[in-house]
Amino acid sequence: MTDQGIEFQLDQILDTEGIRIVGPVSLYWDTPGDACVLIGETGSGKSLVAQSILGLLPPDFHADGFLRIEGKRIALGDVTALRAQWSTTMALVPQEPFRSLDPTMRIRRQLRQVKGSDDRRIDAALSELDLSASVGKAYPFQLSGGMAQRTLFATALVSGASLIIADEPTKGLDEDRAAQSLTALNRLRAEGRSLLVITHDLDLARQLDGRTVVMKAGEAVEAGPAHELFTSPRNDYSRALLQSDPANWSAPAPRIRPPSRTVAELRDVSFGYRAGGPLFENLSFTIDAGEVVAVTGQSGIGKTTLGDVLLGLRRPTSGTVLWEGTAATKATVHRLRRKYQKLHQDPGAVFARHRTIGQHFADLADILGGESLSLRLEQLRERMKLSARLMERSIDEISGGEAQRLALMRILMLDPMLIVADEPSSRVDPIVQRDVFELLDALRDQQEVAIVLISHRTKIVSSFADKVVRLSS
Amino acid sequence: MTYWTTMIVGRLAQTAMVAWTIVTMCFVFVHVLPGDTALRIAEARGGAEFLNVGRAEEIASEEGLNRPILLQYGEWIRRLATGDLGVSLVSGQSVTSELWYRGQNTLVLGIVGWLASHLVALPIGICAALRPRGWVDKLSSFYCVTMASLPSFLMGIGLISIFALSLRWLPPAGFRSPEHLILPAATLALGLSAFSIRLIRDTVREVNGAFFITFARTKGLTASMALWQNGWRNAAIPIVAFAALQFAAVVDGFIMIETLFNFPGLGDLLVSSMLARDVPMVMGAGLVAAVGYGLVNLAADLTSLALDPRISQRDQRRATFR
Repeated sequence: MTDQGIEFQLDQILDTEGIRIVGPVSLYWDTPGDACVLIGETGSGKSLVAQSILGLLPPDFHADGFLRIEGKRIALGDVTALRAQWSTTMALVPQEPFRSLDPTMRIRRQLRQVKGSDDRRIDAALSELDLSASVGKAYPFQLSGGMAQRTLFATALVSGASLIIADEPTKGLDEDRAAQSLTALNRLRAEGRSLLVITHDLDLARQLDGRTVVMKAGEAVEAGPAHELFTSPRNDYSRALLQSDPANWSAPAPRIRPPSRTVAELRDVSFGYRAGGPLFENLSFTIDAGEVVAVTGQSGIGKTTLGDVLLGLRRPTSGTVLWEGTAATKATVHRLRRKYQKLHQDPGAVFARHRTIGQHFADLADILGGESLSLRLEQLRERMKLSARLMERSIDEISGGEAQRLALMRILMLDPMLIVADEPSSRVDPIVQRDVFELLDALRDQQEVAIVLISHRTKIVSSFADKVVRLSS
Repeated sequence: MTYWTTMIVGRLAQTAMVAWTIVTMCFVFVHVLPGDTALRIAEARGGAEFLNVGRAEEIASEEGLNRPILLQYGEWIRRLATGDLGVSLVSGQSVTSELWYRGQNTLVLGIVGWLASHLVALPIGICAALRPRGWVDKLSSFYCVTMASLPSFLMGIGLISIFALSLRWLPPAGFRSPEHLILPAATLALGLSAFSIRLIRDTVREVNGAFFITFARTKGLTASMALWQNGWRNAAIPIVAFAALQFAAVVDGFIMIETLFNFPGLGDLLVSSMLARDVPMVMGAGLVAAVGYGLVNLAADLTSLALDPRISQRDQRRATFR
């Protein structure tokens, strides 16, 4: 291997109790501009691998192995030596740009903090990423999610790092913005920076076409160039993971639905926040039992707000929302609330941290009565294949997939007629995503539940929805 | 800058409304208190032994206390419009000059006590935050709980008995020299710091643990540089807001300490004139306290505005930076 190559050999990562949770994983980059991509389910240890390279593992975690970069061989146990590489040989492009940028500092000053940066390098990096120079004067909150994400790429570009570690660079971004992230990553490669990308966006992994490593339960189960791995996966898990990609979902069998009763209807509904113009105007559509209506459009266009209006959580500025044919006034909403429910984007946010999942379900006794509660709980738990032990845990002790199933199960306890599912899979990995959609699919078929799906993934929408409402500005 | 002007004008109008409400309430309270106003004033002027009904009636007619209440209220408001707060019914002195003198004293005591509390609280709070569960953190937590649960008059009595009566280092009461400030200011500072230390600690700890600090370090900054460059402004926003609120509370929440140390400030004045039914003085003191409170809060908001771009720049549309 030449001096230009980078080699990473992780033997193991031990947690606070000395238990091996990740490893072995080995990665290499032969020439500058190569990309390694880690894919796999949430909790498979992808992020820990990235943290072990950067010397950012949680306190009391320990990594064994080494990183060879720019002719230096650094032990992964030597955190100080790893951190000394920050911004000179390695740079991080974190996820969640708004948590990573100082909210009270202008962008240019934040870029200036990068070791060895100057205005010329910053201007070059901004223009390379299609950001105007005026972005330097902005504070983070004045940027859109996609622009904020690109300023993080600019940070890496300004640095002299030859290895750039990008953690979930498309998380929570809509398709246009995800495409911008891909472009940015490719520009970094064109500049001769090697990439380690951690993602569960399979589209991104395919398009980066680097050395792709599939991780499961801390281990690398398969590795190979993306074009080989995606066409002929050898490992069972890899195959399951790749098949769960919405791109591989089978086209829906044309469904012939007998005309059924209308569960909800919007008549000439407009809504706008007091500051700024209307988000949407004169929207009219109906939602029948067993029907899936998809609401699509760019981030920030008002999809979630439309869902809230439909659920009676916000009053429309004009027009009427009808539930079962009657106007959704305060009294109607109160009477029918349990039949009209919402599945949130982030399942972690709907359960309180300090209480067990079981306690959350016990709260439903106020609505359902104690006896029917425990009966229904058992039935649904069986049907959704959730273990009884989960009830004793808190949200931090279960996986993202389990959390989303439990969130859905809690809604089903109330026997709903309509569920507004707000990006139900944007924060979960592909396997959980398919799982969630299979459950929703079964619900509409077997129980005639009407579903309003808020999503920006065209593939998901086209294979799942009966009707599409597209919001545009 | 439009945001600033709208806010300042709005806040000043608000302050005026609050001041008017408070003054009116003072007026109402003095009049609904049981007992005869003229009699009390006569007592305050001449002492209880020379008190008789004839003297009280003389005072009532001299000062117009028999006039309808609304008329007296209207008269006071009308004079206020010309900047005249009237004269004390007890001493015959101008209310304005008395308030000026007392107000300065209160302000000096407030500033000294408030500054002292932050000189203590800032280093302790920051040290405790940087080493959570270290000895500074544990000790300061004990200190805060103790001080917060100790009423300020007990603390004041304790300080007087130790430093004034036993050790004789400091004067116990009054205000004739700067030394007189030490004990009341210390009482005040100890009470204030009990709350601000915890707030400073929690804020600094949260900011220090924020991911943008870690990210700043991956740019090649040292830990202390990252905390300094990206931390101080973020931490200062809540700390300054709380400090200003504490100062505002000091300006009018002074009655206990001033009474205890016989300190010639506004709080002491308010109590004594309330007891004597000195209506113009009560209303004047109420007015100054309310306006002071409003102005300090305005200053607090302006500081937050200067520190936090999310408030001052929110009108700047995202579209500007496409």
